[in-house]
Amino acid sequence: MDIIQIPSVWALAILLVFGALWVAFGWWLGKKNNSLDDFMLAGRNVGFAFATATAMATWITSNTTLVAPQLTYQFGIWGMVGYSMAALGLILFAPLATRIKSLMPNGYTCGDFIRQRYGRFAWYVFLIVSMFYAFGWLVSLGMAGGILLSALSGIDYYIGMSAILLICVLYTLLGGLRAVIATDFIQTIIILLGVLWIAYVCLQDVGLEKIYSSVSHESPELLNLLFPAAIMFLFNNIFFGIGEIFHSNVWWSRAFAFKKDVGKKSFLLSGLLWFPIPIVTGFIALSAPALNIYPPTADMIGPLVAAKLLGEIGAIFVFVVVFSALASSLDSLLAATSDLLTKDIYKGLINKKASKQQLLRVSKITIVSLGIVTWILCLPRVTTLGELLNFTGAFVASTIWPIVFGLYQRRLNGLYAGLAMLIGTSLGLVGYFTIGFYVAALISCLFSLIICLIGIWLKNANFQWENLNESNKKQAGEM
Amino acid sequence: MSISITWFELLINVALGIAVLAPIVLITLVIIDLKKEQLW
Repeated sequence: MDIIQIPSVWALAILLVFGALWVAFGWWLGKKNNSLDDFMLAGRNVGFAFATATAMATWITSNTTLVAPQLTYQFGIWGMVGYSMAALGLILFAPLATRIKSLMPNGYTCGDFIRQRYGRFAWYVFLIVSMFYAFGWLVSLGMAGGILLSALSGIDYYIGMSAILLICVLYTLLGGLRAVIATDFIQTIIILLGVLWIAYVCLQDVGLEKIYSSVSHESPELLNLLFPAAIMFLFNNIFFGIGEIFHSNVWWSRAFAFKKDVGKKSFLLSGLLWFPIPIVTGFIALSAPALNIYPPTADMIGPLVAAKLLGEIGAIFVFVVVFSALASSLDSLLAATSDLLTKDIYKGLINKKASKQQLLRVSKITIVSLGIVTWILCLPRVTTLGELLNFTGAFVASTIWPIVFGLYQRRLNGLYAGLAMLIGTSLGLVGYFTIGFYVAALISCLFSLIICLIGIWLKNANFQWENLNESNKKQAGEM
Repeated sequence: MSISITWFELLINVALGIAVLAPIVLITLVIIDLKKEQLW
């Protein structure tokens, strides 16, 4: 069965209209930006509503709308529940966000924290892990933009990929984090309404009983609660999700940007509201046997079911939802990676005496450069979204314990924190290549924990928390 | 051991219920913040 595609002209019109809207919105919001803090951190004054929406929208990526159905189709019940467990990353980050804001009220990036808390060795390792993940995610989102928009509408891969990158770069450049957060709110509402509408039609036209009986008849293993690979996937996904959020500047920049006392409740609420989304997008995939849909590749199961249920209108809706999901993550990643490159690489290594005005200029140049580099890396279309992201699981899961102990434990020193990330990542990659993608994050996280515990046991760094704030105040004063 | 129809329906219905609440909660929060001039 072929996917129903919307005409290319319509797809281009949607891209043009939404693109123009986001860019105009970004330009309008950018008029309020007068300083580096305004541009990078939305004035450090983001309220509860926008804070919750941006956390939720950034975590709803094209993966949530397309890979969650694919995993449900492959792993059944545990596929969708396992994917939902990624909400734990947001929920567990809630107390960390408060701690981050209280320890570093003037901080800018997660790199700032690692450098001041652990010193240069751990900082270098962390930057490599962080950059690898950021570029992996950026490239996978860019490629997903091209592949998905092309599959849904027939427009050329290069046009879809270039359009989504250009639109996101433009409005992030014009409006900074303020534009990213405001567009995230609208994109979240669009995504939620789109997903709910498809789910409603699915319930009306097929019904849960029919879905259950057809799956238990045709693919009973999908309802099996003791499906080994699926259970491994569930645990792996928990640590992958936690690692992604705990280490990434996408989330740290939000912790710095949110108003005092907003971080904890907004991350908690966004996690609770995000939790059911993969289950909703996943159960739609389970209706495939009842609808006699047998996709050529599992990753197109979501759009195929939506198109079958809603026809051409459904295809348009899926197109808009996917575009919104891609943009809501891509813009956040562009802004956060640019902050990291500007503050940690440019200010930290190249020009230590850079003024705030210089940093603002460099930050904008970096956003454009990131867009161009991502575009170039997306040209060959080398791998799939899932493969690239699963590979980064080994990297990000190794950072969980160094971050947690770094925020709450005085004893862990930089050498062991750096080694934990280095060895955790290496062994996670060994697991990835020798066992499978579904153990990489688990292994990485486990060995990183062991090394951190050894470090805490052997040495006492006796770190003074005040140093973080003192050092930040000094930096803020210098700039 | 397979999930029973009852638990399957419960899982999906609870997920759908929270998902329906999500946009309502977000829009309500924005209206409240807007009225209190606390968006930013």
